[in-house]
Amino acid sequence: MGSGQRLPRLLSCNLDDYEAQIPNLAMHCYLVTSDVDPDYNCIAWAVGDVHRHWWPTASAREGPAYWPQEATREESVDAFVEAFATLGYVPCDNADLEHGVEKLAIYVSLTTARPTHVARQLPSGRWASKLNVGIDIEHPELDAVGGGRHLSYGEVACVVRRARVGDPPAPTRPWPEGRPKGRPWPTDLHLP
Amino acid sequence: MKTLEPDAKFAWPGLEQDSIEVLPLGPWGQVGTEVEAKGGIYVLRRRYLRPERDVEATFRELAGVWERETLLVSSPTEAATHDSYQKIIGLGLQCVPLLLDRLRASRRNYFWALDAITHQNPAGHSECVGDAIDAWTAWGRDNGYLDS
Repeated sequence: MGSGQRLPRLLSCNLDDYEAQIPNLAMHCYLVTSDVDPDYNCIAWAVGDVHRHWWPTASAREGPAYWPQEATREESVDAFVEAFATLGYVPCDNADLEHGVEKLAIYVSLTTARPTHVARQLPSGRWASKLNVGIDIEHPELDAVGGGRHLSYGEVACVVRRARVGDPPAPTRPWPEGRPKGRPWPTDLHLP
Repeated sequence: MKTLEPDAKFAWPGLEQDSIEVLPLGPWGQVGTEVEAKGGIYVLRRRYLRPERDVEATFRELAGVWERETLLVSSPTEAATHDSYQKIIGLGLQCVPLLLDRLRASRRNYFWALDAITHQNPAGHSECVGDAIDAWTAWGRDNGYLDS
């Protein structure tokens, strides 16, 4: 990793900005778990990598990104499934919580059908999402970051699963105390 | 060899305004190159390519819009085809110092714009943002776009 200072000052920490761009957020419960960190994106966060971006860039000029050599370099669900297969994930037909199983949900744009986002299911049944290069959140429902308006992430097109291995990575930049933490769910919320 | 200083732009003995091509802001590669002038050899420095105030204001406005409106966009292609990003590229070489500063401050993907404007990619196949920023920072210093 480079020695450049990790002090992004120009990215928004204002939750209103995120809710404006993903209107579903304002209608669902979510909890902010990490401050902005542009050094990794949502795909990386989903697979537990907090040091780089994962994206099937076509050339180096598009910026630094990692993509498994075994996977096709194109913005398609199939290519994402191939990439996740290198880590042991296989497609499955539901997003239900299963003991000892970790699932990833691949979102696609409602207009282009290209992948937009990936969320990782936590042992609690909630989902962990990094909003591109911005904040990390937990959300009980997949639809919290979905929808077709503005920059929303569309809909879940595919779910992949593997046996749960180890603990998920810790947030790189904890959300400062005292800031609003989103729209936390009721303490008696029970997930199916 | 002498290095031109900002306030002595045309005051060096024997150096006349018409004797070297200080402006326009390009072609790229001109910065840091040796130029023949009356009375000696001089080196053009980045200061002469400092963007004008309106360019700087335009860049800041475009960068702000782009960062806000692509905050949640993962695809570099989609982000780079945003209207504001294309206009930043259109500002050309004069915004390279601004781009490098903004890159280091925001850590957002200004790599494609830098590549498009300078025809260089010192970051090569870096996989980490930090490595790529370090490479571009070194390039900026080596080529006179950033102070050493």
